[in-house]
Amino acid sequence: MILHLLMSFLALLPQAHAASPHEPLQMRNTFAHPEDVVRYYCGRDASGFVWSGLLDIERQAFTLWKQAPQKDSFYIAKTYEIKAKQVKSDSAEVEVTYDLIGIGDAFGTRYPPYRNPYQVVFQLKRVSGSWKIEKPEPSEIAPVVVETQFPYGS
Amino acid sequence: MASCVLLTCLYASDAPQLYTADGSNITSSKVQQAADLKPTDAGNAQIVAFKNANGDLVSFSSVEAKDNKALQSVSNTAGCSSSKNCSGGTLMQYCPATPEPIQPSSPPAPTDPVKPDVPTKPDTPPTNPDTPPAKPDTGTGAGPGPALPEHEPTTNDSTFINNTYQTVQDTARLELVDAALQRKEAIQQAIHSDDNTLNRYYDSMQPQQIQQALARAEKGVEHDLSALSAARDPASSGDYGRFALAYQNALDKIKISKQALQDEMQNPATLQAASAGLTSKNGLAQTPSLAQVFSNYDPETNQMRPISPQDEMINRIVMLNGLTPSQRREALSELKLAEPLKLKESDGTQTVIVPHNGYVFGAGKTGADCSSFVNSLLPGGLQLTRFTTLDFAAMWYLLVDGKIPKPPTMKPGRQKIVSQAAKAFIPVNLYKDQPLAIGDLLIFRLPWLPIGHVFIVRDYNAKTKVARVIDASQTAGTIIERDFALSAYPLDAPKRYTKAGLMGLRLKSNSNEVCSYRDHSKSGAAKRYTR
Repeated sequence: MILHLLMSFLALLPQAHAASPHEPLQMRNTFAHPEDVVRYYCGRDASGFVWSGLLDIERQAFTLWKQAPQKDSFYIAKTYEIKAKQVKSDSAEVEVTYDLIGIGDAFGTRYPPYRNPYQVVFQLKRVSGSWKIEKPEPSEIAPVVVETQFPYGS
Repeated sequence: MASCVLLTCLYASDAPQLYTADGSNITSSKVQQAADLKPTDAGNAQIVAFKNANGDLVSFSSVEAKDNKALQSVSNTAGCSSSKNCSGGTLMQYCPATPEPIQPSSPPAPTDPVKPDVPTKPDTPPTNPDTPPAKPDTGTGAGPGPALPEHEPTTNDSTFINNTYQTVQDTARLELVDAALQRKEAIQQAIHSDDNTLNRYYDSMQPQQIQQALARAEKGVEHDLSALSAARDPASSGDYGRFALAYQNALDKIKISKQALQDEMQNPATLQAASAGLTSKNGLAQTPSLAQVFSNYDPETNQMRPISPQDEMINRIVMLNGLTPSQRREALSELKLAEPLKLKESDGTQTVIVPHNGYVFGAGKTGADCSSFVNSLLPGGLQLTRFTTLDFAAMWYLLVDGKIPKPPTMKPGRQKIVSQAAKAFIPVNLYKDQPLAIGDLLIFRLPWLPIGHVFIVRDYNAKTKVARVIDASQTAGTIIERDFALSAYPLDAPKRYTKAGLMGLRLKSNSNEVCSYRDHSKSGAAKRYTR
């Protein structure tokens, strides 16, 4: 019980994202915690895999979206933090706070960030035992690449 | 951003009639109320002011949100020749709660992802509407209102000549629309053909043979990924990036499937039984695990789910690289969508053969987003690279204002390409009620959001300000036609202001230094716009 409470508490703490070369593709959603699903999504997003086209199998494994986001531009972040805001039995909210440095496309065109920090609250549902991102909708979310993980156009 | 200047402007602008989405007036005090909110107020309000090159205030926007739902955004874009003179002018209203040009199924509002339910961004004109367009309006364009002839008829301004001229223009633009539909169909057929070509090598493979093929594929994909990642061509960095990421996904798929297949092969009897009922069209999907990787198989429902063209392309990358050298040579002679790319690298050039979905760098056809689809339809000289919505917006600014505003900053090479490509277009200023015409590109882009869209106009009703647009959805894998309202105001509003962030670009149908049109009267419209 104490261990469970401790783990729940630790899960609610913000975790700084450590840059890695790229978040490998996964096709099965075995994550026990909603923030792990968001961490996977953000990791893939950071390297440009949301911008270049989320694969159907990962879209279905990790989200409830009917289609993948389709955007030709993206936010550019230095880093981001993931924090579980609220976790209930079948729903959860996970907040991601990005330290933005710009908005642009992969040809190097850049706007300064409109606001910083930039936050996205992911709403997740537990479906057949798996946490999946429900909101924002794909039409409402924009890709966020991390500067050090996305070498194209910089 | 320049709210103090804006406030000066607001105090002086009692005269303009501002309307909310439901048609009720916005009083100056209400605008002031919105203006008083600061950007830091939970993102509920924003003020944006723009200055022209002389430092004069030329436009402003304000926005207010109530109860996390209501949004009203107004802009005054004309009559503000200076901060001391801000009366009258064109007003625009933008209400993301109404259908917007992002996704066909859930009409879209370019909402801020921070608060997806709360559209928070102000509207703004995409440029200074006081600046006259590059071409004068002479009333010869399609539909009512001012028109944009591509070039002035040089003979007498007779009705006959004008009508004939207009017919020629409309015909050319109709061909662009036809080309869109035919091109998409042709590409889908080519993808289907390429899938079949590669699948037949795998259809009868045993698991051990698939293991060997996956090992070959891993080696080949690693090599090509390395070459794509090392390519040095700043002007095409975005194109290389997309392909490098597709190759990275292909490599990940190979690694997952190698491990999964190895696990499955530990128990041959179970594997055989489990694989017996699989009915995937993909030749690699011979076992349950491989079917999940390559055919989006759902083991719970025992069904093969549809996969997107992007997934299919990645599968073809794996399959092509998994062939033996002789099989590969044979397959390449049949593949319709495989392009040898000469990649410039620090130590020379390297050629990589890239399977694609119709779009590949200079041979543009289709890709993963709407702008790449539109790119695919542009004539020869415009297909040198993929243009993003930022690029199209920059072209519009350049044509209307004579320069690309900063921000954004563009790489010099990119700016040169965009500037050159802009010469193929005529701007359509929707804030001056210039009507769209068949074949126009309708671009939606707000500078502060990485969300944009570009459509091809199939029809336009200037009275209702509703465009029938062709929308490319890569996920749906098809072209969608739908209505797009340029104004959020009700039809009976005294003035129906155009939503912010909309720009029109009209492709010149005559040959010019960017585009060369060839007469292929026997080859059909689809080929007329190819290189």
